Amino acid sequence: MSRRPAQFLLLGLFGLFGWGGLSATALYATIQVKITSPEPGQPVFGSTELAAQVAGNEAVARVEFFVGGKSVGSVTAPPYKLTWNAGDQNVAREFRVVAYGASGSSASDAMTTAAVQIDERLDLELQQLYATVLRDRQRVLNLNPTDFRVFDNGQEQELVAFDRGELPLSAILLLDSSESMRGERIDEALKGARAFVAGMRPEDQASVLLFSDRLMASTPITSDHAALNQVLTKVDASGGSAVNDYLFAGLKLLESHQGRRVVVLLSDGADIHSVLPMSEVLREARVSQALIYWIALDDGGKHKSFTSAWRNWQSNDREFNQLEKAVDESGGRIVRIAKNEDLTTAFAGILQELREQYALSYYCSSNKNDGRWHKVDVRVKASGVRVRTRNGYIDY
Amino acid sequence: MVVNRSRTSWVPLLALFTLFLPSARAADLDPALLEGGYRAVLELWAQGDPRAVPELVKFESSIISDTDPQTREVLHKAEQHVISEAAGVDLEVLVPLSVLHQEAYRYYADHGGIGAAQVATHDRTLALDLALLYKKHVGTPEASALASRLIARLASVSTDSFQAAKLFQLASESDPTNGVPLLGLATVFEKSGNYVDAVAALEKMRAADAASPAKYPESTLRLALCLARLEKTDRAIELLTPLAQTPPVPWIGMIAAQELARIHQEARHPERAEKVLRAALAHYPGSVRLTLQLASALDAKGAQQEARTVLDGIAQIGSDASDDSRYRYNRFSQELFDDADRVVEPAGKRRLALLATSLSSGVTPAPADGVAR
Repeated sequence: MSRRPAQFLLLGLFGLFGWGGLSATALYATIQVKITSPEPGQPVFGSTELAAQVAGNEAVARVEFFVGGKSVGSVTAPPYKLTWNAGDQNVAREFRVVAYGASGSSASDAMTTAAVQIDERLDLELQQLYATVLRDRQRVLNLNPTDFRVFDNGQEQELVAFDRGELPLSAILLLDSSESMRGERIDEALKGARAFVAGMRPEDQASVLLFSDRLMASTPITSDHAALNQVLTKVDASGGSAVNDYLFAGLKLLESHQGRRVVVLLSDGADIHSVLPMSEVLREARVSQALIYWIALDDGGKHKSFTSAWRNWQSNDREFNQLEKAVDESGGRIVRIAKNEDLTTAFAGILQELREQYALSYYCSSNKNDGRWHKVDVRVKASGVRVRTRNGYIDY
Repeated sequence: MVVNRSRTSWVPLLALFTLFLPSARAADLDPALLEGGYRAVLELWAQGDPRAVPELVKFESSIISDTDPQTREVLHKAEQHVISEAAGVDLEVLVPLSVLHQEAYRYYADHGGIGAAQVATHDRTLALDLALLYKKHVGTPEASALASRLIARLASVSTDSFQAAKLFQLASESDPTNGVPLLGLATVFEKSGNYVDAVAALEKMRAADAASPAKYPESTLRLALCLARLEKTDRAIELLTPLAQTPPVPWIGMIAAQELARIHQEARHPERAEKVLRAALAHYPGSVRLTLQLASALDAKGAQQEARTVLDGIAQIGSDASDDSRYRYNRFSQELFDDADRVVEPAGKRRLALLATSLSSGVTPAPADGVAR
């Protein structure tokens, strides 16, 4: 160790070390563009958002979108996105975007989406829709089959069966058990899930998956309440969240179960650690035809616009938005919760809602098992009511 | 003149400060009193007593006010005076002093730092400056290496990504032969979505340690993932393949396989993804994540029935709570902490005796009632 005499001053040192040399990225090109939606390799159907991110050192005059070589519209100010109807055909599509700078320079990006691959034909010719009918936020419970009109790809269908929510459930309870859930929050979540199990009827069945960035505990799909409650007693909440991975697992597990399929997801934020993108989950959600309910603690928006080692903030926001889309498309809903003690009520409320749904069944005359997207529209012959149901399905 | 207080006398002295300075204003602060309080903390630290850290936190928190920034300046000058005297006897005391202020900063970080922004900043700044002073005034390669570790350790606990990047950069500059701070710097860039600069830092790290590229497999993994995000997938596949096939560390092999499969799937080659995942499952049988990813690849391939069969296996697995690989990837490398701790902690402890000696050399003692000058 060295020893030195006393001449030694600290004054003036603070602030000497300026920040520099880290911003290594120099932008040489005048303008750059990248397609951010849809995602490559994923099938697209119906109303589709086309979006692009533009960077560079000059003003953007316009951004034009092309599908299959044809222009489908342009945008002159950020955000550079528009909605385009992809229709119902199960085909691969080529998307291209061109950004034009004020000086006349331009840049482009292109990518291709995929068709749905099919190796089997599922016996899904009988289409079942579960509809919640609301008037002034109150569920309407006294409707008859003749009050409903169902349209499949615009063609009115004849109902072959009609029930009032008494069909058995196959449910997956997905409970986020990450570190942010630690303490009272996870205790209340477990309590709420136990309330859901307690409300299940003998013919209902469920599976519980407690997850963070890993699978903490799970049960098979069973109607045995004791087996379900066994994993709903205690969990050491730790780690981050991998909503996509376990939502995919839940939907996939439901595929082999008949009847009304339901996923109840409880999470206080969006995905951080998943390996699967939300677009994969969205595709699976369309195939499984399960209703997705998302109990969103803290409004579910706590993790919006953040970055992680896995995704930048734009990607994370896209994942979050697609989760909302998957829930909306499924005919389920987001149950926003501000207080932990409301969790039991939320679980019980979802179960009650499921009991008060109408089940509408029909055979679609135009089904061809060709992987096409079928848009579904349910209307009720009553004034001032709103119908919430799955808005389409893939024709397997 | 030697100050020889017993250990039990520090606590009443520090308590006195917190009693009389509950909401300090700069104009009311007596520099001599502050120097005495700070000296008391240092003497506790010099004896190897870990209570010095919370005592320093308590002492500084009672003086620095977020609403009166001048309080920080007054305390700063008082602490500088004590440090100058001690370092004037032996420059090596700068090392344990830097460690002490680093520990105080870590204390704030661990406790959320709520309501103590100025104090936390004060300790982080002081810990850094003491490390840089040590490097500058001792001037040997060994001092530079130690300063680099001191700064990297500080960066690893930094709660602010901009500051962390700055500190990792300084740590790297302090000792260019130390590649670990560049891994930290790259992680900060990666976490902020700046993949271009992350790649630059990782390439620099690999170049600096070209003789042993396998030394830090995490840098190879991060480099591959950042390249993939920049759509340089060929090189990403080239880097990931050996990590997946012959995992140097289990968690790195696990992520390499997942990301390699993901790249193949995104490129619409689900059959290649399937091959990678089946091979990985041979390494990690029962992995839930690999299983569900395999189900997804099979789905994409069009083998829905097989995908369902594969995924139903999760029900048998039940849990996979020990697989924290993806969570781990989102945090600073353990290598950063290990490397810094391995050097810094013993270096700090070895110099505590010098600190005790320096503090007791040529210093005016506190009066018997425990109140300084």
